[in-house]
Amino acid sequence: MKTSFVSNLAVQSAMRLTISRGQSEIQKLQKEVVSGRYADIGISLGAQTSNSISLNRDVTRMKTILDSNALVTQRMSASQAALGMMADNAQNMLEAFISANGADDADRLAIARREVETALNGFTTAANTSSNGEYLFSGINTDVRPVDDYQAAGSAAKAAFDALFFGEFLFTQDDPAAADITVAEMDHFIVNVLEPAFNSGPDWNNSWSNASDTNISSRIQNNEVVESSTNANSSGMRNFALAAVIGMELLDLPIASDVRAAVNTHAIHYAGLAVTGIDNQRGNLGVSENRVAKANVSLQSQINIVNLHIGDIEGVDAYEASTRMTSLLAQVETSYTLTARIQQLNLTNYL
Amino acid sequence: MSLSSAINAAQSSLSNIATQTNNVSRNISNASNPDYNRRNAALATSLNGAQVVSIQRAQDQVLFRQSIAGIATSSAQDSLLRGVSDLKSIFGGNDYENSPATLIANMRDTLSTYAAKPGEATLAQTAVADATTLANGLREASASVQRVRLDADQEIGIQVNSLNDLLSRFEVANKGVYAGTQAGKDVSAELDERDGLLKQISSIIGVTPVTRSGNDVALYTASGTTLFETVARPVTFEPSAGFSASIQGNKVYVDGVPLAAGAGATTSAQGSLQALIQVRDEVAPVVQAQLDEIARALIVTFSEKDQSAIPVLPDEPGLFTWGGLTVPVGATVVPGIAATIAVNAALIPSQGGNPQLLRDGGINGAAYISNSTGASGYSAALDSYVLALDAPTGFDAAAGISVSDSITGFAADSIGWLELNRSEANSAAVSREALRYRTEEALSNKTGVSLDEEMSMLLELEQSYKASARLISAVDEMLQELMAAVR
Repeated sequence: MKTSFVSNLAVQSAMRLTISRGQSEIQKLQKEVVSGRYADIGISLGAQTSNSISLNRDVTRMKTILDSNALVTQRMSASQAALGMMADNAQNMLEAFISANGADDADRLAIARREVETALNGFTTAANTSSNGEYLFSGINTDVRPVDDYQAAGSAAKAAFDALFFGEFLFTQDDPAAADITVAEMDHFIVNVLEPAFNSGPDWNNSWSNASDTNISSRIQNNEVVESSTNANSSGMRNFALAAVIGMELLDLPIASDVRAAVNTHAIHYAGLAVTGIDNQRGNLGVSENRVAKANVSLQSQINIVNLHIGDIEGVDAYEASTRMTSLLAQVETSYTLTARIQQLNLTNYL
Repeated sequence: MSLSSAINAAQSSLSNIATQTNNVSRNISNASNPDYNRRNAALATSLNGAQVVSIQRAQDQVLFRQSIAGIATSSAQDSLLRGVSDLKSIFGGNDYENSPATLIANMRDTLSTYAAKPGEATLAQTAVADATTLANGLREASASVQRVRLDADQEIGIQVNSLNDLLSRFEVANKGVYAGTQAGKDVSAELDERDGLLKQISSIIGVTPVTRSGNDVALYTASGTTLFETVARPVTFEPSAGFSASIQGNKVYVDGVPLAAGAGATTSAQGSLQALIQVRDEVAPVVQAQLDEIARALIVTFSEKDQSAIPVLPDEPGLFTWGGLTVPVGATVVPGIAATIAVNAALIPSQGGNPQLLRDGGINGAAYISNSTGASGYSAALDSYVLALDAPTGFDAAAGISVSDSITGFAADSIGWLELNRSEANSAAVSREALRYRTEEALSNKTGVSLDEEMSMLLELEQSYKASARLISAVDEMLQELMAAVR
């Protein structure tokens, strides 16, 4: 009969099993201590893995938006700088008109005209600013130069103005007959002919601007879209061009003093509108800039919060893991010693 | 009582000791044979002292049955875990680098960067390149899922062959046991072989052995089909040459009855065959259906709509297209759509396409252009794609996850579904393996050889031998004394 309830095979395989279990556990713990996350997230989390994946994707999504927000911010600060330049030019032009007020002598008029030309030049340069490969004031037509240079040879805008003038008075600007234009006629020309050509109707888009009325909109958060650019079709820029054209084309014509005074008044009026219009644009853009800044703060804090959650879900307490590792190592070492001693524990050795 | 009977008893004792020593040495030589059951030479008193009556083989039917049941469930769980792990490895390591969830998120991120700067041609190319990576990833994942099915199918074929082989060997061993038992011979060796075969058989298919008169054994599967009775019943299977989403695997027939697949992550399968069928016919097809649903949802999301004031033309595939070249209608799985999904050639520069069409629309003709002015800063369509990837849409319940979810959410849940099964299968595998080892250990302790015991037996036999020899020489001396007195 069998008297003992242990077989050599069982003893050996039990020892082997203990050691191999211990070794695979050590391998796992080593990974966890080093990386700070579960060695096999799927095994440890099961169905919750989808949570971990979603949260990780959310973080990369928010980081991408943060990156593209940097693009948006850069576009808007470049626009702000250009608009600042335009506002300065509008202010200079306004001052030139004010200083030319009541003046009839050719020198002062010539100085005023030169200042207006400089201002328009500065305006055109600023309006055609491009940043990062995009024209800033083209709306969504970012690959098209928004404003044509009025002072360049063969300018369509200049031709359009000449046509308007000729259509109204039936002679060209430098014709001596201009002296016969009355205040009423000039008022009529400026208010009823010239202004509509700039502020409404198709003329502006035909001769001056290639910009689109639609501004670039950018998603700055998961649920927030802002307009991140402004365009050359805004009323401030139209009025700037109108005032400049009046200053360049009408102010120093051989016209009567009272007519010139009327022209100057109109020029001051439109230059004033240009200043406020451009300032409005800067304000609107500033609101968008502020929202982007706030969105960045909120994105950053969301990223921090979600990262904390990810750490909670897939993170391993490194201290706990290394403590477990230490005790496991001791256990495996004990089991090695025991294995060796049990192997020696054989009756044959004592016979 | 006479001196001659004393010498007879001593003689029979010597012969007993020879048999017992032979038995001990056989036990010792088989100490590390897992299929060997310890033998014991049983003695019985007779007229001349003791006599070896029979060789007893240590056995424990209850533990043995538990042990082979443990082998069956543990091997089934192992096979399932291996299949599920193969499926998981398709999606990459701990960060699921190759999973559709990751690839979709990458594409979404480049799309949103592109939407922030729609005029930039390189961003358009990057977005299209990421979409290509995603389409390739889906196609590869789909092919890998089918490869897992094919591997399982081939493994089934191999195991069915070895099962038939084992059954025919079992038949021989069983006949040997039966004939030996009838003839009253020692059948221990045949029993050992039969038990060993039974262990191997149950790692392939779970069996219930029923012992009948004359030590004959019949084997039945868990569902009651006869696997072996007097003769081996045929197990038949026709391996498939290849798999696709719409190809079903062939069944395994045991004695003409189809073998059912295992169910659940803690599988109900007994033996690796059922678990392999489960991987081939249950688990992998669900993963395929999920991939198909992701591919279908992508094609629908990026499809182009007729932009006319009164739309008349049907929706057409946009960024993503597939073998069917139409936009699938309704939330129903289109089998195998993930195997053919591709980025529309009209967007790929190397194939003469223009990636900027992604921003403007019009891949399928002028009626589908949404950026009517051709403005380079137009981001509405791109932004709507980015949003649509995170907006809820309908999915088929057959894919085994939610029926209304965003594409990114569905793709993440698909990983979650697989990992849920893998995690459960893993913990079941650990506990079932432990159970198997415990019962095997208990069985081995009950029926295996302990060297110490054999050695102490040997000492005892040595002493008995000495005693018997001493007895013979004592009787001899006595007889000589007697003879001398008589002489």
